[in-house]
Amino acid sequence: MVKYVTRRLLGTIPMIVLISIILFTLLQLAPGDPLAGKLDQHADANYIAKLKEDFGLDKPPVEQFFFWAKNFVQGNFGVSFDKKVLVQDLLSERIGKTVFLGVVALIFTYMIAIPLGILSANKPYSKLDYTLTSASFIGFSMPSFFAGLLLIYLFGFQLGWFPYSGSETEASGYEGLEYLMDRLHHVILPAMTLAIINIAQYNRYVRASVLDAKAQDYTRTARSKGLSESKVLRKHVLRNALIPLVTLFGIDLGLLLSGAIITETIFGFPGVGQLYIQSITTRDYPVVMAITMMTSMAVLIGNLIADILYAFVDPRIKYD
Amino acid sequence: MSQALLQIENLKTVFENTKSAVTVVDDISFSMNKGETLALVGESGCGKSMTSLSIMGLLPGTGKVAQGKIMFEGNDLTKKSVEDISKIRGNKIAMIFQEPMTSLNPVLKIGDQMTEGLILHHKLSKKEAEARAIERLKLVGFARATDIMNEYPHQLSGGMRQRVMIAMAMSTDPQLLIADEPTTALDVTIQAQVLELMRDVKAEFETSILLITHDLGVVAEMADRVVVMYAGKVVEEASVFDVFEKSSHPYTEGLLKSVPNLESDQTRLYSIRGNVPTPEEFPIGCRFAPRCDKAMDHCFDHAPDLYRVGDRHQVRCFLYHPEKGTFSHE
Amino acid sequence: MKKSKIGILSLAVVMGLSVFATACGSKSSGDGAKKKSITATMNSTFDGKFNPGLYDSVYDAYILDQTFASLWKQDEKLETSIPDLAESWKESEKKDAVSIKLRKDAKWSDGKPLTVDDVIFTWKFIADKEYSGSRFEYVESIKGAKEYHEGKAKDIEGIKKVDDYNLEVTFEKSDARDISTKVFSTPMPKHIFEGKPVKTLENDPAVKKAENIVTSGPFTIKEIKAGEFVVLEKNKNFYGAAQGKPKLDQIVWKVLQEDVAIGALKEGKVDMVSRIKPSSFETIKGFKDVELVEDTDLGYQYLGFRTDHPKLSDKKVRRAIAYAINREQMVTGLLKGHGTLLSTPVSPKSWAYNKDLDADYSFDPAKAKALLAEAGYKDTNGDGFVEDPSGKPYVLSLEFPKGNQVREQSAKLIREDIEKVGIKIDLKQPKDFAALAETVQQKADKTMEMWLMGWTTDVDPNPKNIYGSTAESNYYRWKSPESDKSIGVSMYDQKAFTKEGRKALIKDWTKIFQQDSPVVLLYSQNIIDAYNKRVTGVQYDYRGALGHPSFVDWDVK
Ligand SMILES: Nc1ncnc2c1ncn2[C@@H]1O[C@H](COP(=O)(O)OP(=O)(O)OP(=O)(O)O)[C@@H](O)[C@H]1O
Ligand code: SF4
Ligand SMILES: [Mg+2]
Repeated sequence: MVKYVTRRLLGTIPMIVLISIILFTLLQLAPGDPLAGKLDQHADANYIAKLKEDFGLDKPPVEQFFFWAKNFVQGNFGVSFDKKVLVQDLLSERIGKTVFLGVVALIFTYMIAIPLGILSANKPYSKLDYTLTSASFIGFSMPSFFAGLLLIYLFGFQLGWFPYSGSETEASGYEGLEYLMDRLHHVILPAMTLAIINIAQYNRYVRASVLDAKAQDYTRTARSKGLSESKVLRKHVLRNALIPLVTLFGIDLGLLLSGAIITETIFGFPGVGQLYIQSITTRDYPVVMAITMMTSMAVLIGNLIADILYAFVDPRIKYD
Repeated sequence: MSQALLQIENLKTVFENTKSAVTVVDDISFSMNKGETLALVGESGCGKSMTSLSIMGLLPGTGKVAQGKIMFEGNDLTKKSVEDISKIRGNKIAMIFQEPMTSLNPVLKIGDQMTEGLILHHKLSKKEAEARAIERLKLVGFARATDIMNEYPHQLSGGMRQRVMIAMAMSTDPQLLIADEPTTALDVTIQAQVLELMRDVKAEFETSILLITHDLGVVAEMADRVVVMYAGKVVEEASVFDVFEKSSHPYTEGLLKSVPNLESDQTRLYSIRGNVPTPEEFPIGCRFAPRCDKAMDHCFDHAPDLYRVGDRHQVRCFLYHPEKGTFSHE
Repeated sequence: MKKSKIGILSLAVVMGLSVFATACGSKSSGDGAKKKSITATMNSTFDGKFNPGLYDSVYDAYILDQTFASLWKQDEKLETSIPDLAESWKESEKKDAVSIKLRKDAKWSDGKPLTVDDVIFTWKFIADKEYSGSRFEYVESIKGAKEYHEGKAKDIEGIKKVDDYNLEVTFEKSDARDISTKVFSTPMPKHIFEGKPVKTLENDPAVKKAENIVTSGPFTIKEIKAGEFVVLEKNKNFYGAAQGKPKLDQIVWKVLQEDVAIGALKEGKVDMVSRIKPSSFETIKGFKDVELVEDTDLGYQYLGFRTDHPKLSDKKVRRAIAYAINREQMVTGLLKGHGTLLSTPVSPKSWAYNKDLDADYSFDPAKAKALLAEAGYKDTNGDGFVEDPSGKPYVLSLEFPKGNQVREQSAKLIREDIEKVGIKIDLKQPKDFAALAETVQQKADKTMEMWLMGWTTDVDPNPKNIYGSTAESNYYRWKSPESDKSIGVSMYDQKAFTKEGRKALIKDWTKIFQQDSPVVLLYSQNIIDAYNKRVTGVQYDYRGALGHPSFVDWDVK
C-alpha cells in the first residue's frame, strides 16, 4: 500500500507540471493585461512600468514561468498583481472557510441524499419516488443564486432561524465553543444552498445504484436465505450500492477547494471562490495560478484518497 | 402413495408491464415426493428458472404468480405472507442458482454469508453457526474450510463458489433443494464432482431435489423422474426410465437425439430445427408445431392437452390423443 | 420497517437543526444592545489595505474616509476646501507656496499627537523611489519632489518644518488648482511606519490587521474579516471626541450582494445600502421606514474615438456622431431617470461647470446628416449608408466592455442611432474589461475605432490628465496644441487664481473640446443610496451618504 501511494504520488508530479504549463500558457494567451484594468487618470506611465518590473512582467514568458515555478515549489505563491499583497496571505484566510463550507455541504448532501435515494429505490415508481424525483429535478435545475435567495428569504428573513449572510457574527467577542457554534450557525444556509444541487445528483445516483444492487444475483441469494427485506437492504444491498459513492467523494473533495462562487457571493461568505472570480476578471494571474493549482492538486489527491478508500470498502480491490 | 412434498397445480407466471402481460410459465402442474429427485428439462428460455423462482417467491422485476397453487407440505405458498415465506426460504426450501459467479455477495466474507441463514433459522450462536458452516464446507470438499470462511468470493474460482452455494443451501438441512443448472457454468471435471456431491448430500439428508437442467446426461445420472418443458408448458412427464426408453413427445425425442452419443458414430450432431419462440410469439396451436417433424395440420390451430400414456407418464401431443386416428398425418 | 427508520432519522435531523437554529438565534441578538450601532453594506469586497497612501479600491476608501482625518475637507457647495486637521493655511499670492498650521488637539488613535512630522513622513513616503502605490501625482507639484522620487535628492526641497504644528510648502511653479489636488492630504502615523520597508508595506500588519492599524479619524478599526466585514468603533482619541463626535459607537460594514442587501434593508437588518442600481429604485421606494437619496455622480460614461484613425480624423464626422446619439433616451430609458445628461467633461456637480455649454450638444440627427454631407460622406450606392469621400464603403467598429449593465444596453441604442444618420456600425461582442482596457491603452494599437467606457473625475477639474496631448490616459490620441495651451492657462495663469477667472478659462477649454469632440460624452449615472429612517443626521451629496463627512453626526433613534 505504501508503495502504491508513493507511486501514485510520484505519478501526479508530471500531471501537476503539465497542468501548470497549460494553465500558464492559457493565461498568457488570454486577452487582457493585469495592469491595464487599472485605468486611472492619476497613474502615470512610470508607475505602470515600475509595477511591470516589480512583477517581472517585462521578462519573456518562459522566464516568467520558471520564476513562478521556482517560487511555487518553495511554497511562495507570489504577489497579487491586483492587490499587491502576498498571495498566501490572501488565500490563508479564505481556504479554511471554503473547506468548512464544503465539508458541511457534503455532510448535508450525504445526510439527505442517501436516505432519500434509498427511500426512492425502495419503492420505485411509487408516488413517493415520483415526488422525490420531481423535487430532485427542481433542485438540480434551480440556479444557486435563486436557491440562495430563497433560503435567505425563508430562513434568514421570515423565520429568522439562521443568519442571512457572512461566516460569523460581527464584533461578537465569541470565543471557543461559542465561536465554533456561531461559525456553524452561519455556514448552514450557504452549505444548504450548495447541497441542494448535489442532493439532487446524489439522490438520483443512490437511487439508481440501490435499484441496481437490488436486482443483483447476490441480493436474490440473500433473499433466498429468508432474510428480512430490511436486513437484505442493510447488509447486502447498501454495502454494494454505496461503494461507488467513494469515487464521487474523491472528486468532491477536490472541488471543495475551488469554492462555490455564486453561493459565496450571495451569502457574503468570503471563501476562495469569491477571490477566484475576482482574480479572473482582474487578470490577477498569481492568484488564479495559485487557486487553480491548489484545486488541481486537491482533485488529484482527492482521487488518490478515493482509490485508497475504495480498497478499504471493496475487498475486490487491492493495491501493491 | 404418500403425500407429495411439493405439488404444483396449474401454475401460471406472468410478467406485466404497462402495455402487455407475458406469460412465461403457462398452467403447469407436477408434484414431487419426499426424497425424490425431479429433473426439469427443456431448452433455454422455456421457463425452468421462472418455475423455480415462482416456488421461492423470488421472481425478478414485475414477475408474478397469476394463478395456481404451490403446495409445500400441504400449505399453499402463494397464499403466505412475506414473513411466513421468509421462515420457509433458506430453511425448508433452499436454492442453488444458475449463476455461480455472481450469486455470492462480493463484499462479504464467505463465513458471513454462510452463517446468516443458520443464525436466523436455527437460532444458533455465531460460534455454533460457524462450526456448522465449516462442517458443511468440508462436506462439499473444501479441505481448508476454516480459511475459506475468511475469504471473499472473488478469491474463489467458479467451481468453488458453486460448492460454497451448495454448502450454504444445504447448511440448514432443507427438505427441498432447488438446483438451477448447478453445473452448467462449471467445467467437466468439476461438474462431476458437484453432481457427486449432491448425490451424497441427498443420500445423507434425504433431501428432495428439484434439478433444473437441459443436460440429459445429468438427468440420467441423477433424476428419478423427469418433467419436460417447452415454451412455458409441460410437454411430458415421466420416470427417468420411461423418458430414455419410451420417450414419446417429439420434442423429448429431439432432445434425446441431440445428446452426443458415444456408442453411435454420428458425425454430425442432431439438433431440433428452428428456434425456441419467445413468450410474445408462442404459436396458437401446439407450441412445438413449427419445429415438429411430425406435425399435422390440426396441430397448427389446436392446442393439445396432456394425455396419459402410462403409469405416471403424460404427454402433450396429438399423436397420443385417445382418438388419434381422427387427425391426418403428413 | 426500514422506511420508517429513515423517516425518523430525517425528521430528527430537521428538528435538530431547527432547535439548534433557535438556540443560536436568540444568542446572536443579546450582545451590544446598549451600543449605538448601524450596519452599512458595500456591493463588493474591500481589499483590506487600510492605508491612505496604499489603498486602491473604492471600498477601502469607504473605510478610510471614516477612519482617517485629512488636512482639509470639501465644503458643502464643493467649491473649496475647509479646515480639518489643518486649522488654517495660507497660499502665496502667486499660488506657488503655502503655509499650513495644524490643530494642536489632533491625536492618533493610540494617543500619540498628530504633528507636522506625520504629514512630512507621508509625503516622503509617497514620493519614495520604492513606493508601490499610485499617488505620486499628489505630491509631484511640490518643489524637489521629482528629484527625491528619482533618488537624486535626499530630501524634498520644497518642504520646510517650522515647528511641530507649522510647515511651509513651496511648489515647482504657480498652480491655480485647489490645495487639495496639489498636496496629499491624509497623513499616516510616522511612529508606526518609520523604518519599515517602503516597497512591501502592503503586507505589514499596520496596514491590514485591525489591532495594528492606527487611525486619526472619528472611528478606529475594531475587526476585519477579509471579504466579509469591517467593524468600526468610535475613536476615543479623535480630536472632535471632546465635543461629542461621533455620535455612533459602532459602524459595521458588510460585504453584501445587492439583492440580499436590499432584502436585508427591507427587513431592517441593515441600515444603509450604498450604490444601488437604478433598476432597484422603484422596489426600494415601497419600503417602509426607508429613505432613498440620489445625486449626480462625478464620473461619466463616454464613447471614445481614435482621433488618429483615418476614418475618424475628421472632426466633422465625430461631431456628426455626437449629434446623432439620443442621450436623453439613455437617461430616461436605461437609467429610468436616475442619471444626468452630460455635455462637458466637467461635472455638473463642480463649481467649474458651465451650464450654457449644454446647448451645443443636443440631439440633432438633421445636423448630423448635414455635417456628414459637408465632410463628403454620401450614400452613393443607395444602400442607405454613406460611403466615404472616395466612394468606398464606410463602416465604423464599436467595442464595449462587460460588467456595466446599463453600458452594455446602451451599445445597441448607440448603434441604432448612428445608423439612422447613415453610418454603418460594426458592433463587436463585449469583452472582459481587462481585455478591452489592454487594447485601449496600447499605444501601437491600430484596430480600435470607437469604444464605450467611463471616467471618474475630481471636483476640481483638471483636463490635463485625460485630454492633454501627452497624457498617459489620452487614449483618443487627441493632439491639439490649442487645447494644451488652454489647459495650461487654466492651471497656471495669473487669471486663473480666482475661482471666476478659472471657471471662465475652463469654459474656453471646454468649447475647444466640444468643437473637436475627441469623445462623445453620454451620461452620468446617479449614485443612489438608501438608509433606514432610524438613522438620523444623514446628509447627502455626490459622494453619497457614506463618503460624506456628515457620518460624524449620524445617530440612531
Ligand atoms: N425479468 C423478466 N421480465 C420478462 N421476461 C422475463 C424475465 N426473466 C425471464 N423472462 C422470460 O421468461 C422466459 C423464461 O425464462 P427462464 O429464465 O425461466 O428460462 P430457462 O428455462 O431458465 O432458460 P435457461 O436454460 O436459459 O436458464 C424467457 O423467455 C425469458 O425471456
Ligand atoms: S402435437 Fe403435433 S406438433 Fe405438437 S408435438 Fe405432437 S405432433 Fe408435434
Ligand atoms: Mg434458467
